[in-house]
Amino acid sequence: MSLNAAGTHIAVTNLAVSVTTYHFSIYRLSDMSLISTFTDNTDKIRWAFYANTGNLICKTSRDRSIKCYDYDSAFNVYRLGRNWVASDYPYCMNFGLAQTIITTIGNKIVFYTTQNYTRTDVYFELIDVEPIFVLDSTSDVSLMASGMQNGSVSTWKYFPDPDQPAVQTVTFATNLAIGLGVGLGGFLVILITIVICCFCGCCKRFWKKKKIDG
Amino acid sequence: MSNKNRIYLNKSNFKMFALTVLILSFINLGHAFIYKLQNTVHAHSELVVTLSFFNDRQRIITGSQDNTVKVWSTADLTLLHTFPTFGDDIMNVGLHPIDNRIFVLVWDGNIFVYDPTTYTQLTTFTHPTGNGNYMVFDVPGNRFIIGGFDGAGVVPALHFYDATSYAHLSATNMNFPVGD
Repeated sequence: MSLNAAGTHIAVTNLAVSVTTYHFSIYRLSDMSLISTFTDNTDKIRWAFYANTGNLICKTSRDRSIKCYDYDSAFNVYRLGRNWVASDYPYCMNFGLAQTIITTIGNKIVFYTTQNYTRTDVYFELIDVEPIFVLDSTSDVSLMASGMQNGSVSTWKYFPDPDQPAVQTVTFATNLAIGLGVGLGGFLVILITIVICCFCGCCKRFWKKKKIDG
Repeated sequence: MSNKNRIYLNKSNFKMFALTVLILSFINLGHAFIYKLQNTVHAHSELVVTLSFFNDRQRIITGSQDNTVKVWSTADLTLLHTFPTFGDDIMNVGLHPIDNRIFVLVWDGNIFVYDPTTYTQLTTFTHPTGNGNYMVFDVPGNRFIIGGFDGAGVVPALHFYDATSYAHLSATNMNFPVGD
């Protein structure tokens, strides 16, 4: 259940305790008239949350989907926009900077971008040792807090300075995986660069010409 | 490697090679991790079901299935306050958007309201039709809305309350129990 930034629309989901149709409905708060309703999930809807501005609303479901809808004021209707299939059951969600979606999936806090970038939709993942159940952030998203299944609470701080890349993990295994990943990535970059420099015809001609000119 | 190929790996072009590697590496890490874990505390004995920052950003409030609600310092997760244990699962803790009054929604249908500074209880009342599951405030903070199961045999509804007098204003029937 969530209200849009202007407080004019309210989105309501059903708890789906014993039903098999999963309703997601949006009403005009002033008179509770129905604007749109969707039954596009195949399993329980878990969380629905409006962005901090505008009328963008996203919802998570046990069917692993994260679906976002925006309001078309000309037709007084909400339309499905972005739609992801997460790696596992997405649970709690929130919005970050530039309408980035922050959602909890298992022991991860996963960031999705709602922008139409061509690059991968999943920004990055923060990994904790325990399944994360709920999260909240300050209005400027400089701080996040997560609540875990085992009763633990964690705080997370945003580091805007790229010169201070933050290590976000708390497990040795994850640190090792990231280290290996970065190492392997660097190795591949070097390997690809060598291949390009050594065997690319354009490069050959360039360097040969340079040698002759020299 | 033939003599012809050796030309391309000499010292003079190694600088360009190194520069290319550097640039590609930065591109590769351009979207690196920007959040850092600050603190973790074992706050509750069971699942944390609700968690919110106060407007002052200095405090976090948590509610759990262990029937407790606690306030923590954001800086180091020091425990600042523990409310008396409630009679049932905590379903939701809502903070009033303007003055941050603390609204605790309990599974047994009771709603408790606390002062955000002294943590003293301001009032308590009972949801008229059973179990409330989740609550939101309207944007000016004049009303709050509770949705939930509404108990056996009761048509589920969204219930509207006055955020000052805590009076039950109205209810809009839903065809289904209202979720988070």
